[in-house]
Amino acid sequence: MSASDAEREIFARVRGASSKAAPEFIHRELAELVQPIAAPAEGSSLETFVERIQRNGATLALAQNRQEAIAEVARFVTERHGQRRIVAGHDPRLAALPWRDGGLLPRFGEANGEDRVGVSYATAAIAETGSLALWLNRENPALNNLLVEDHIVIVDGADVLDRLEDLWASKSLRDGSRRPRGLMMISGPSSTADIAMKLVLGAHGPRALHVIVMDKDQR
Amino acid sequence: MQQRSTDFLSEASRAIQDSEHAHFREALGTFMPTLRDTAVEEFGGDKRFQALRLQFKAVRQHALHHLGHYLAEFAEEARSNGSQVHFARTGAELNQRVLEICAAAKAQRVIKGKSMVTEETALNAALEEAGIAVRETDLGEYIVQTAGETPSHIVGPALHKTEAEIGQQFLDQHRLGTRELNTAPEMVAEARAVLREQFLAADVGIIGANALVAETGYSMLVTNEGNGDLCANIPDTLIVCTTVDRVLPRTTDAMAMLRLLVRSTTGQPITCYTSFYGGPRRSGDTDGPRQVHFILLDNHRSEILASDYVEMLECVRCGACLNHCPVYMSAGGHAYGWVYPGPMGSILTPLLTSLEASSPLPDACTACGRCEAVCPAAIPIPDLLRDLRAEKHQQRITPRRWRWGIALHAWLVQRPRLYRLFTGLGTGFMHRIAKDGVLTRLPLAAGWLSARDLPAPAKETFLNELRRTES
Amino acid sequence: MAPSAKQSVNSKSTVALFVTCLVDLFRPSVAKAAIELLEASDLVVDVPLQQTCCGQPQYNNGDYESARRIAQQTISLLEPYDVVAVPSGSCAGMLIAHYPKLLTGEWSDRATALAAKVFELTQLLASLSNIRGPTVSMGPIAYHDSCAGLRELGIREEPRELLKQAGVEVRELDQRDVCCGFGGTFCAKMPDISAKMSDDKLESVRRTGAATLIGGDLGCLLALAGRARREGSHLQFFHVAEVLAAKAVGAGIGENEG
Repeated sequence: MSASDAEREIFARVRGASSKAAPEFIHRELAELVQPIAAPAEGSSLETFVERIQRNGATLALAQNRQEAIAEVARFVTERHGQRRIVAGHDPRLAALPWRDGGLLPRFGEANGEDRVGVSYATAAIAETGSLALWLNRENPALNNLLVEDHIVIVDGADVLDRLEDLWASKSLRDGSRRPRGLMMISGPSSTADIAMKLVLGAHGPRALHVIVMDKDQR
Repeated sequence: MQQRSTDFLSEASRAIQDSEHAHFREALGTFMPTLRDTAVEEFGGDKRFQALRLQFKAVRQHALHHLGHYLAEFAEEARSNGSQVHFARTGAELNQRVLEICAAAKAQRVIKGKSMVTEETALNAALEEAGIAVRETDLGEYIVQTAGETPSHIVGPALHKTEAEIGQQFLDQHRLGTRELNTAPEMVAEARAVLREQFLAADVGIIGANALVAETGYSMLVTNEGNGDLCANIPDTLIVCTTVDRVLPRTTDAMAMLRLLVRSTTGQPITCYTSFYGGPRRSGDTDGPRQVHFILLDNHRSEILASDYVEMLECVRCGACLNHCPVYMSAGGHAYGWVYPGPMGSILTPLLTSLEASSPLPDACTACGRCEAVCPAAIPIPDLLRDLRAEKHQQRITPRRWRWGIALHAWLVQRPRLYRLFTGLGTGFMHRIAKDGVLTRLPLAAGWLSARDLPAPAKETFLNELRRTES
Repeated sequence: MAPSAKQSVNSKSTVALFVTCLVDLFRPSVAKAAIELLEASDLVVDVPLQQTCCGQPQYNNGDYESARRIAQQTISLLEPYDVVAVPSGSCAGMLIAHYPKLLTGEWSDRATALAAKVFELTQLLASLSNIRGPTVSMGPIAYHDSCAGLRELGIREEPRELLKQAGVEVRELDQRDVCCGFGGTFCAKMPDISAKMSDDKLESVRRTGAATLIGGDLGCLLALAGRARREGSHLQFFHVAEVLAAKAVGAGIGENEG
């Protein structure tokens, strides 16, 4: 039997077991449901984000400007890897960084398994959970988040959102043909507890997640 | 997967006698509830978490009540994202679709993220039979797959194995020469290196989905290891295998689900990776799959949707009911004899296979209610298990001596005078034959007496004494 | 979930004692203790002689039809009273939480009306302002919460407060919200698993250093005492009502009256 037979039959069964309400009715009913509550937070979004992502196992540094950010990348990469090569996506914000000032050697594209450090620029951060959000596209190849030993993510302080839902409000996703192929929310280094419940970092993805918050207003 | 649920009692007894592993399960049963409770505390306490779960439950009930609408919306949006959406009525049909996709892609190597659905359909066996190499990449799944075993826990598949056992297994199966392999970090590093090569060489990646989002056609994947994301982003072909009941209306609903799911699973506020996948690489993208397929399995879900067990479709597969179930902790996950163990498995297994083939499972519950209290979907698990026992009773799957015993007792308790007479004679007799305050032998009490003495009944029942002294 | 909108109890209330079948058959002293405690609080206690069993064995084994008939019989018997006291969390839970959903139509309404008048014994005693129990002299005890009492009725502090008032030191079990393995007919259907759960609970009791385990449900206590006796343990077991009425002397549950 062909796949479309399965589709027709499953839809017939599911429709037989669920409502036949008009879409307008369904939308209205959904809109009337109470918005879920989020995890409570004290302090500003930025403070909460800084505290929580570190609690999730990431390290974090603050930078006032691009020079400081690059200096921080250089410090991290040389200290941990004794070399200066990194891979970065085609994000104009990454291209605009003064890599040479830090003595860094960036390669723009996606990680290939040889790259030790990936540098990404997050679309947003979420205070509630201490997470970074990266849309997957040319600017942010997924492999740079995953196929490296260490992952450095830069995020603008102004892009820190309060709660998880805010992430979806900021992006128009109505038009299917223009939706990104995906989104990754990253909240810490890759980890596992599958062996005897012992927490080990660097299961398959990065062993370390280093966050650099660019915030001009920081004191 | 060959179902062995009818051996539940003997397998459980075997697990209990294996004291080394039983001790390990006890640690799990202490540790996991503590992690969960701490996470709930940080969320603002139990009341707040309860409120959240009821709010999310309303969304889930809405989504299931209108599932026809949301499933169609998901399929439409996923297709508009450039994904191919397939439907499968049975596990065999899902496996067939996967094989067709692999054949079209001329695939020889498949890597998989954790997927309970493909455990349910026994996909790995089907792939291997077709000559396609398949590798589980979730560390726990990898350990279990290469040991030729099955998962014992839906979240921690290899938690039934000790660190030393896994170390020895790796020494035996990875031909990497003489080396030390004593600690979990050393073992993880070795598995990482071995699996990294397999990730890079794979033709097809297969992952599951924690939820599907109707409004965007995205699927949500929640992991800590990042293995599922490597499966989803390295090979040219990505297949997402999940079931028709997983659809949520909006991405914001998936966010609400995350708050409940992750705290209930590992006690984290969120996992290291929470990803949404919606289609093949866009023009200009430098990575990502060139083809994305969703295979949506029914396998009895539409029947459950129409049944009194519909709430079971709200299960988010967090594993909290396993972690809080003293029966699961005693019996171990393998005793349940199929894919889903513990309280949720004792409901799902009969619904997805048959009540006959799962007959002991609905009884594997003391109705202690601890699972229901922590279930992030607020599923009345003990009630559903009791309802399954009612079906067992009606369909006469319950052994005759139990049904007759229960019926005889019911007949007696509805005749108070006869009841007093009978219990008076019975307790008097048992009181006389008791030794040192207990009975160790008694007809019809073999179940009780096999593991414990029976404290002796009173010389005279309270009601008989009262009647005698009052008159 | 805790039951809402409970009937108020005052000294003029007539209380029906629903003895429970296990107390009737195995431990009449629990019923006698309950009567003493209630009367000491100036309540008028009546024990309806026609009572038998609440129907949990039928209900939990899925014989809903028999369970409904037994529920109807129990409701008819108890609904004339102002208040019903039950010295068991699981039987009280059956009347309060399960009868209303087991029955339909008018019977469900009657079950709900009855549920508002049913109290587990320690809950009722703790709610009375004029409780006058004796002072009890005994060594430290460990307290076992029954699952139904804890989770269906929300009983947690009440027995502890009463024991404290009586001068008894209560030691807490680690994992005090975990089942003891009784589970009604569960313990006979799955004896090995049940015994493992009981062993874990008994081990937890031992860790407190207390020589006595007290609980509010005779089912749990019978199962634990039976297992302890089988394993040669010398732990003592009493029902909380026996302790509060200063009757926890002599033979504990499963001990020789000698």
